[in-house]
Amino acid sequence: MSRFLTPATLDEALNALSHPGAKVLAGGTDLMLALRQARLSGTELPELILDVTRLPELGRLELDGPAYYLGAGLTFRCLEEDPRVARRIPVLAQAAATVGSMQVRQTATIGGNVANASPAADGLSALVALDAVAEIASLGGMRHCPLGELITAPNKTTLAQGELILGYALDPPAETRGQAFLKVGRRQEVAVSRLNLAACLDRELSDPRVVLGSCFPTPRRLRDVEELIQGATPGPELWRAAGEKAAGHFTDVCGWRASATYKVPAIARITARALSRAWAQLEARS
Amino acid sequence: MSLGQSLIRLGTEAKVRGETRYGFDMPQAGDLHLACVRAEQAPAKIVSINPAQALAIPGVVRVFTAADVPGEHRLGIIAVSRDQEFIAPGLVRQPGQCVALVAAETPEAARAGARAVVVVLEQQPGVWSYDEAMAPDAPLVQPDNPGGNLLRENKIRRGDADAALKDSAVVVEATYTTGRIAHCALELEGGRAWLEGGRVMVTACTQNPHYDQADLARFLGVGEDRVRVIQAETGGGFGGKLDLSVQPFLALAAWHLKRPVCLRYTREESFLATAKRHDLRMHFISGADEQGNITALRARIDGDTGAFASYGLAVNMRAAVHATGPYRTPHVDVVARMAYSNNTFNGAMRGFGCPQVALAHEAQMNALAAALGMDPFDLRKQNALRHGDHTATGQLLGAGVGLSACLERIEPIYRKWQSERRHADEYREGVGVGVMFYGIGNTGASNPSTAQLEWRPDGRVTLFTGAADIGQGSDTALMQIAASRLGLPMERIDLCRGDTDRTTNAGATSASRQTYISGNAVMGAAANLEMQLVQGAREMLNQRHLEVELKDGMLVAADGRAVEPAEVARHLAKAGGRARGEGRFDPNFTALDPETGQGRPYATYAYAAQCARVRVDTASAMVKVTDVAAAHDVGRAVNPRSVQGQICGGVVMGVGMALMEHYQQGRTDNLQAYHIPTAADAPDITPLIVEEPEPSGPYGAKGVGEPALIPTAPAIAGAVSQALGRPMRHLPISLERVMEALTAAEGETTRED
Repeated sequence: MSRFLTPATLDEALNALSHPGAKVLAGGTDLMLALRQARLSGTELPELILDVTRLPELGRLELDGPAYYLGAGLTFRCLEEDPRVARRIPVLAQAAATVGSMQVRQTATIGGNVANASPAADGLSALVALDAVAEIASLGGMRHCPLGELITAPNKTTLAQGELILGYALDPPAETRGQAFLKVGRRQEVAVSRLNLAACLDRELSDPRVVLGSCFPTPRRLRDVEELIQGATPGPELWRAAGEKAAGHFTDVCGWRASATYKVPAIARITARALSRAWAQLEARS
Repeated sequence: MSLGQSLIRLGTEAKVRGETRYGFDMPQAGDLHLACVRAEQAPAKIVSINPAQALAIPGVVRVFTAADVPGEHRLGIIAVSRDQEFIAPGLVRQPGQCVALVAAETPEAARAGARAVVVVLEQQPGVWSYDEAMAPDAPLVQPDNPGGNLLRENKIRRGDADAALKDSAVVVEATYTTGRIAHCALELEGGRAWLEGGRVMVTACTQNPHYDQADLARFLGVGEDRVRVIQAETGGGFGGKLDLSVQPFLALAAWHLKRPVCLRYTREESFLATAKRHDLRMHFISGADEQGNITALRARIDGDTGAFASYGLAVNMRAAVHATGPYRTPHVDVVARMAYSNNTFNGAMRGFGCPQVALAHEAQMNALAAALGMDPFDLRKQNALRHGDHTATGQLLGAGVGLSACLERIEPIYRKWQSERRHADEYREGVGVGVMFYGIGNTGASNPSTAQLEWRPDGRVTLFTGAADIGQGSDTALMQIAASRLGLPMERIDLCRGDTDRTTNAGATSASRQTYISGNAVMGAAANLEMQLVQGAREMLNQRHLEVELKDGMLVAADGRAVEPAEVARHLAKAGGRARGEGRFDPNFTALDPETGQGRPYATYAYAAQCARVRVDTASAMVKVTDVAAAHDVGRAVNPRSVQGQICGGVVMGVGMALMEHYQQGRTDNLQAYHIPTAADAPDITPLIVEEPEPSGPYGAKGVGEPALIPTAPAIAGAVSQALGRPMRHLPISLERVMEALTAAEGETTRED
């Protein structure tokens, strides 16, 4: 039998979390499935389930100053609906809108999405494209960790027992960036991504970001694709070439397995379309 | 009165409030909990089963094995192919088959006990597809089956198909396949059993309580009088609750332990242990003359029923009978074969093989139209079955053929959508049409229903029916029929349903048969009741030959006097009698000739035409079905809103069949891996009711349950084919299949440029 605790303060939460066997419940949409599986298979349940949804620190949403900050407790529904998110970091708003169903989005959080570290996590690809740095608290103090380093393998992170993600500092991207997120699933909603792609483009194409999710153990920035785009002439041809490069990147890393017959053309097409949409967004602003 | 009105279905408010208790909700405090020990390997010999470690777990009460089954091991709804062993007696034929049953004081202890039972198996060679099963020297799945691994071959032969194809102006040939599909009823299988006066009582979700009673008695080796089955509210079935599921385990444990027991399947267990829709491989050759008249069909249909026959015979026969689609086809040569394999068994699912063959016959119509240079819609209109035509089995169709009317209803919508169709950079659009006919009731076999109506001395009427309402609305439809026939508001009638002690056999809730067959049984019961009331009224009025009729709930005599039926009921009660009408109806059929398949398999058919509009994303290859228009000839809509509900539900299920549903044993045993449509996948649906009265139906009614699903996937397949310019012949039309077609289609365009 597990104990269930809803701490009201961060101190209380970090104290409780330092006990081995404590598990964080941020939205529960992944944890509850794991608990059910454990119950059915007779494996051990966590000793303590720590509901962090009441901690005020996790609810911060700061997009007005020079430094953007997203609390780990923000739900996807909130990210999908908030007009500031839609205006300033549309790539995350679009990604949030594709997560699960409305019921899932109502409770699932951007903190849980990262800590669960599914290779198919939609929020994660968008956050990586935004160069998010996680702010992590423990009784020992705070540390900051870029998401690329935090997530190491499918469902594996460098989070230690006792550590809690408070939120993410975003490289202030610049409203001037064009952004797009695309997801492919086997149905319109409540589908695990077959692949997802987050793209951010600045007007000079000096710092393009292309993140491919659901194709590798962790979401991956396609550096070679970014290099191709850097300083090049924007337009359909560039987007198509970038798509081909992205597809090539995938086969280089993963080889030609059964899923590639779909994924390779899909990656090429989705990448080209996301870049084209991100650029169109920039154009529309001027 | 109430017939033809869109009354809110009985029990709706309780369901909306969450107060309805389904079979799954039956467990009570103090019940013993059951858990099945399921074999992971198959086929396999059971070397040993050691329950010692399980019995050592606190709370575990007993571990049953096949040795504890007092009666027959082999059960099944079709008597000639009864072959499903609920606790394997020595040989495991399919993965997941139950080998032992644990009873415990808590669900946790039962599950722990099931994990602790040590089962030693010895793997045997198996067969995993139709082709493997039919190979020479293949290991036998059911060695007692006289045909080896061939469960059944059905032939439909009419005219000379080979010669007619030779003489045809155009001939098109292709192979089509469909995937296995899981029913995914919202309610998982669940129920409860206990003893009462030396009899075993079972209440569980089911589509057929009287069949359950008979097979449970066989399983326990007792007379049917020792078993009572009460259908619990059933949260969807779609054919998946026609076979027994939890009931044999419940009955066995209650019988031995003499305590109330309960059992609920998990979603994973439901995937593993219940039937699926048969995957069929269909090779079709169709011909037409220069004017576009269909000349012939030659079809070969191969199916794999898995380790148990379940409804394999019915699916095979129905697939053969419906292979031509609802089109005049003078020359027919169809052979359908169904084989056993060691896969988890396939059985009944909404349409019994017809949704599968509809994919083939509709794609063949599109191919014929293309070969002839004709409009595919016009080709269908030209060949559509009409009054006076013969079907492939030689059945002469009488009145009540509403196919042309269905086509007329959707044609303007189809034409409009075709005219609006366009391709853009990011998507391609397509419009397709699907047409079907569907025989109501069992194929070429007696399948009667019975019902009773009693006018009680207190003035209320009770309708007794064995027909299981599984959420589709038969309760309300039968009550509307009774109310209309007796001239009463429905509020004056009480319903007693699905209890083997209190109702008589109405047959299965399957084959879209309850409105037509049980509806007719109710009509018969009402007529019989009316006769008794009239007789009673004459006695009370002391005039043996007085004209008396039942009108608006009153018995009115020709001389102007009136008697309340309740008075007659009281009059009869004084003499120890009752005003209770009996009704029975068995559709008019003849069995099919075993060599030619000729005969009259059904008394009547439902007809439908649907069209679908899709948008295919050119980057992701995702298909969105945006709109479906669905015209259904139901004879007479007893409850129009219910009919519309069935149509909309069928269409959404058809979207699943067309685009995403694909059961893969061991890989898709939960709802995360096995995709069914969500609300976001549902198209904008226009349900259109066509009423071409069926002379033998209650008030002209037929059925709509399965027809609602059947045309949808073919219409979607046609639409995607049009969008991509390539025929989509395999279901589901997955991302992979669409991408392949899209890449190939674009390659062609580039070459043309």
